[in-house]
Order: sequence, then C-alpha cells, then structure tokens
Amino acid sequence: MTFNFNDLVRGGTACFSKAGLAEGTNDHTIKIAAPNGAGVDFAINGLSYHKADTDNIAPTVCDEQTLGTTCLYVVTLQTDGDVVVTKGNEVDNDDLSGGYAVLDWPTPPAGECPIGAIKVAAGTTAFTVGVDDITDDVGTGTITFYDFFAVPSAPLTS
Amino acid sequence: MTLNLNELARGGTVCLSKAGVAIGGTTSKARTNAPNGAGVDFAINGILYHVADADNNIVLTGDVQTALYTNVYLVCINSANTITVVQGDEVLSASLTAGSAPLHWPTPTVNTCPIGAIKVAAGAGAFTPGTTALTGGTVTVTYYDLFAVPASPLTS
Repeated sequence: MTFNFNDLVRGGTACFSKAGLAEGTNDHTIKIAAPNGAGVDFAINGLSYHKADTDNIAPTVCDEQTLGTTCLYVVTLQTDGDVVVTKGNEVDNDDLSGGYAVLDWPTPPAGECPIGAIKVAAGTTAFTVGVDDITDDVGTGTITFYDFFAVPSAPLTS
Repeated sequence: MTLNLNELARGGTVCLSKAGVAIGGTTSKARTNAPNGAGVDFAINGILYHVADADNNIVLTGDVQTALYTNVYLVCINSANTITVVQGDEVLSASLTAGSAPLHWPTPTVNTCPIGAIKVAAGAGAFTPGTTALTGGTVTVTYYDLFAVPASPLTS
C-alpha cells in the first residue's frame, strides 16, 4: 500500500532528529546527545517543539525488572521538554532467544512524543530503571539504546 | 481524505534533513552537503539514523543512458549509512518536454531511505553512470532532496 502524504495531512507526533540516547554522566541517568549537535526537534499533535541536548536526565523510576528477562522502555518527551520513561512487558531471555516470544514496543503515553527506547536484558540480577546505573548495576546483562522517528511497527525478536 | 498523524503512528521511512545532494569533487560522482551544516537524519522503519556530510559519497550506477534521453537516479541510504543509487526508466527528452511521456521516480530498494535524486538529461552523447561527468556541455543535471519519493512523476 502506498501512503500518500500529499493531501490534507493533519496533526502528527514524531521525532525529527536522531536523539542520540545514551547513558548519562551521573549515576543511573541517561542523556540526549543528538549527533546533529543541535538538539532534538519533535512534534506532538502537529505542533513542533525543541529539546536541547541534555546530560544527566533522571529517568522515571519504573517497576523492578526480573532477573533473566528482557524488557523495552520507551522514552518520550512532553510538550515542556520533560522526559518520561515507560516500561514494557518483560520477556524471559530464553523464550526470546528461542523464538518463543517477541519483545513488543511499549505504547507511549498519550500526548507525548516517543524519541527512543532502551532495551534492558537483565542477567543474573534484577534491574530497576531510574534507580540502577546502566553501567555499574546491569551486571551480566546488556543495555541497548534506540532512536526513533516513531515507534517501529514490528516487535523485536532478539 | 484527511490523514490524521496524531495517534498511534508506527514505523516510518523518511528523510528528515535536506540532504543537499550536489555534484562531488570528482565530477562523475555526487555528494551530500546538508545546508543545516550537520549532516542528515533519516528514518528506516521507525528507527532514526544519522550520516555526516561527505564528498563523492554518491556513485551513480546503472545501464548506459541513451543520447537525447532523460533519466532519474534515486539516491538511497541504508541503516549502515551505505548509499546506493537506483536508476529509473529513461524517457526520450523530446517526449518529456512535449508532455507525452512522464519521468517516473524509481522505487527505493527495500529497507533503504530515499534522500534525494539526480535527473540527467543526456545531450548528443550517451551518459555512463559513474563515469560521465555530471557537468559540461553533454548533460543537463538537476538535483533533488527528498523527504519521501514524490507521488507524481516528473513532467519536465
């Protein structure tokens, strides 16, 4: 199917700059470091906004993620530039690697723009976004950052 | 029909910066030179990527273009920042200007983002993509920067 943007486009919630999500300098923080060197332009319901590059963003404190699971956390911006992190559904690491389960992207909160996501594959210890440090506390697990234009339509399979 | 983009947008393959496609330092090649001075942000299937400006990073490929014909070359980039070119179907330039044959945009390669296009009108000599210079008396070249592939074909 061809999706024609030409006529009568209204509204729109999307991120127009690669946000460059990464671990923040301070403990348990993240940062926005757009590779364009000029922050992030984004739209919510058709209105455009700008978020400057920012270090040491304290993520929303999420529910604890069980050890041995993988989970996606969607990162959204509000109209005032505040950052919100929303936890998705945990999937057992063995089920994911075995192809028995997929990792669905969380649904962003209404009225906020998804700019990226964090995938946390917890190893032998549980992990709590907003409390634990991405480098120091993930233990045998791994962390992956994604930058969004919009939430991908297909789930992750690994 | 109104197309409401507010809710539950998913995926998306579009170019979010004007790429500034232009002739390269090597005149048979082209380059990206974003006027924002900061490279090009683009999305493939919802994930955002960034490529820095570079010279000679667009190499035209395809069959030899016949003299007196016009063709369009679509510039696409993948998630690894590899740029490829898709050659369209050539049209006799006289038919194009007469309005009897439009010039259709090529279809982008799957899982790449179209960031620009290059229209080449060959003069009295054939045009060999990647070899013939994009300047000089034998060719007329037009550069396009894309958000997405236009819905309508070129008529001139």
